[in-house]
Amino acid sequence: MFTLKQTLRDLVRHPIRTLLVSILIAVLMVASAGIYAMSIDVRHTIAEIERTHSINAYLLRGLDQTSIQTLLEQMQKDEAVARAEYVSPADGLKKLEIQYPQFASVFRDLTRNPIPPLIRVYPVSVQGIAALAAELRSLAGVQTVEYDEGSVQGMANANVFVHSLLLYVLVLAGFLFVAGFCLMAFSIINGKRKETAVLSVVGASNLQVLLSTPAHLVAVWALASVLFAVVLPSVIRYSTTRLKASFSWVTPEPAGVVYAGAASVVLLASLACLLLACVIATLLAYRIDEEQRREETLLE
Amino acid sequence: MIQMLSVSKRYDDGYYGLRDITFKIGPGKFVFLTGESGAGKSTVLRLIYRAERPTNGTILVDGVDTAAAHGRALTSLRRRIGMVFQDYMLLFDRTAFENVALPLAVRGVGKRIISQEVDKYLDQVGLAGKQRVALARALIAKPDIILADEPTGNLDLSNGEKIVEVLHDANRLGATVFMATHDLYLVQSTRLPFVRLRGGRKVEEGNF
Repeated sequence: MFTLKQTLRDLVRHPIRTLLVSILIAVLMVASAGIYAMSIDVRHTIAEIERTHSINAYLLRGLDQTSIQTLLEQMQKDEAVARAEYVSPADGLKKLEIQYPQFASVFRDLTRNPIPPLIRVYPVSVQGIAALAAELRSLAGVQTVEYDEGSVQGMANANVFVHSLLLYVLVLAGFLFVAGFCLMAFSIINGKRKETAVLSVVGASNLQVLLSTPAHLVAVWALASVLFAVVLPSVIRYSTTRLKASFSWVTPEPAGVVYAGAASVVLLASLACLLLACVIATLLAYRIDEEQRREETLLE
Repeated sequence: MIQMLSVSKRYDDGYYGLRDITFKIGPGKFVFLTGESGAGKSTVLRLIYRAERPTNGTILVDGVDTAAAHGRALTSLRRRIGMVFQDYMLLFDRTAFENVALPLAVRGVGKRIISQEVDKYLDQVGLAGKQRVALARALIAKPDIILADEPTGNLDLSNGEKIVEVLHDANRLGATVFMATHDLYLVQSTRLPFVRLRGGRKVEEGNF
């Protein structure tokens, strides 16, 4: 109770310092949550882009409808396949007419449909597209298999790059988090050197002396968490708006899910940092008690 | 009762702060600890309230070996001692009221009682400035023992005498007072028992 009262008084006694430190911690938390929300958006966008990649499995001409149906079902059952659809030569020609309306009359005047029957296969993951293509090529009834290799490779490279970048940024944010908390612990404990000594002298228990700084840290963290919780929805709303503006065809994750994910990840990470800072603060309080005695001896 | 039995204090650099000090202060006594600067007066006081441990020897405060006191025993020991420092050791980011209230606050005393006691002790001390706050803080928890480390060191004669008078009052109410001072005139004028140190050794003990 004494520690709690002292901590609250300390916070009120230095309102500007308290507010500045809380804002600093809150900014670190919001920045980390923003990175988390952005990573979700990026992964979501990449997944949407990947879903558009497909393999065209051209079938032998003259393959009967039963064999085509068997092949389609076989492909749909494959675990690496998200979905597969049959495109008949007639449907293929119609799509070409729609795609290139300026040549519509040319397509209509054709005496024989040159387009072979096709099964369009959408892989579960772009990473496994080459293996899936090889597997499809080996199936009886499949004449040839095609996919946009360059685009797939480019996408995979971009994916790795973006994930590495996000990882680096997250590591940096984590480092800043730990450094921020530890610096705060160091600064608070230094400011409490005399208080630590006085508390010991007036008969405070070890717990009261040692809990003084961790309690201060917890109070500042709680204040920062409130600021964080208030600001975070705006950050997520902004991130979602930017995503929609850049990629109108992407359906973003629901804001509630992103908020819950970002808030829980950042709060847990900050709690871990807080715990570390509290341990450091307690160890420093012990050390400062010792140093204080040494200084007194030197002064004498 | 405070007892020091063959107490020595040697620091990490090999320097001896105290060598083979033995004396006894009975309960309810007022005793001066005198000697020049560097004689070891503050070290004696710090050993009594267990800011430090002796290298050799035993310090007993009402039968409790201070060097062996840990945790609650140490807290209990310190709660029986009121300390007055030469530099007052006040927390300047707090009000005078909060400084004086600190010993009661750490003991979990209620707000109303704290308020009454702080006002009472600030009035009772009857000095001015920092020394008033420092003395009130040392006395407010009604300690059995008062250790005063050069409390008159920064003061003129008149204010120094006032401080001694306040300590006398506490002594008359039953507290044991052990006051370190280099002011021999003060010791002589009060005709109270004293222990004199020089170079970390006890050189004299008695009354003027």
